[in-house]
Amino acid sequence: MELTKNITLGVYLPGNTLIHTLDPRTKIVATALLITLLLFIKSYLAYVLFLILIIAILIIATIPPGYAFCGLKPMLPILLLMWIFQLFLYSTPGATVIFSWWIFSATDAGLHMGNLISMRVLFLFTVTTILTLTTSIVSLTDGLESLLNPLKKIGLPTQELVMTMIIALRFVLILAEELDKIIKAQMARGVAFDRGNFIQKTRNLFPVFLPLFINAFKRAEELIVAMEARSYSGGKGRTKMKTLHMGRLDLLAGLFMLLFSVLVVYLILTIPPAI
Amino acid sequence: MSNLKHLTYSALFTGIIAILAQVAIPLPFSPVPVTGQLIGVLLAGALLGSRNGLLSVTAYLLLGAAGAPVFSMARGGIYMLAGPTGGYLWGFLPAVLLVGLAVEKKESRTYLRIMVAMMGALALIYLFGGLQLGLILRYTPTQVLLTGIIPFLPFDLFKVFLAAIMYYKISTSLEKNGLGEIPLRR
Repeated sequence: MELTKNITLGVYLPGNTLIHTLDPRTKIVATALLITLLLFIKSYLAYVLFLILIIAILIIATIPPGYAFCGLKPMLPILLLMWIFQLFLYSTPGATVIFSWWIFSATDAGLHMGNLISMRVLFLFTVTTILTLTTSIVSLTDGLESLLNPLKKIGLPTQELVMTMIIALRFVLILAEELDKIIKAQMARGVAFDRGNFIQKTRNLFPVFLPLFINAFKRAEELIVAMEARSYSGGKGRTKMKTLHMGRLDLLAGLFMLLFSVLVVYLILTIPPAI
Repeated sequence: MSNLKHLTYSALFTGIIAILAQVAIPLPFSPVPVTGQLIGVLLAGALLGSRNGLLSVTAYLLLGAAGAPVFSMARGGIYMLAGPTGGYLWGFLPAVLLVGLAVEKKESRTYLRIMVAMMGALALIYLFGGLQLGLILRYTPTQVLLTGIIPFLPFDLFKVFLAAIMYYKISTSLEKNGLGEIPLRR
């Protein structure tokens, strides 16, 4: 059994740039917009536009390229596999064969499709990474809560949800610590976690997870008592230490994003898809 | 049960799903290890019921989207939800709802019925996962089946089996420890 060690909370890269100071809501909506656009792009020109936008944002936010792209490394083999998949399996009736070997043959349509899909995945990754690199988890949750607020009317407990997220963050750390302790305690009692076949390894999970669950429930009870003792009731009437404000910069950023999307949509509509 | 209890137990399970997702049993023949994420989600449904289970899983997905490394192999970020494999995560929502609704009926709390409900939940996860995989990568249904579902099926069925056993062990263990009366279901 392996446990991913050193759980650091988030990949936020603190900074004081224009991108960092934007309202989280602006950034969330902009990211959602870009994701939607990416799903419809079928031309290389639109991707060039995206590339320029992303490079500009990286420069403005002073994010070292290593940070933005290091998460890509484990994905590269999968990406390559996807590309090969499309290259050999996708084809249209009138496509010309550019390469063939044994029963496999690659067409130009497959090549184009492979390129587009790989770029789509790459850009999806970069766009979303930029959001989390420039926005802390706390302000993202605040932004989400505010954006989800209209859904309160149809009965979605947004405040409850955000409070759940914040308590859960704390629980993750507590549980990780607890799990480490239990694993060591059971090893001291002779449980060999690194030995045995798949079945034995699975059976070894029980002496770890049953105590973890029981302790976790006790912790939760303690927390409830502690919060009740401090008269926390959650929900209505709770105020925030930091409130969100939309400024002139957000307006400008919003207008810019709108312009960019109109341009991309124009490209999507006018350039005939090559496939 | 007070609002606070609902909230704290949901948060607890969000944490448990996140921790279970980090526990990996490496396989000798595959780069993708077996992780406990699915077990966490199924247990959240079985132990919390539909409403709180849903709250817990929604919080889990949003935390992950906000960049907390709560998904398997300590990953996080909106990419995980918007990318090709994001559908498997979205599928947790209907899955937890189904398991939750199933355990809320007293007569369906038998071993077999819980297992069936959990398998239904797995099917929902595959449906959502397969749809998004197919939509983003433009796969045909056969390609989706071959790359996104069949290789994982034996392990996931095993996890369903494991989750059902754990559900029973945990609920009896909770009773033994005097925590049994926690009204986990609405």
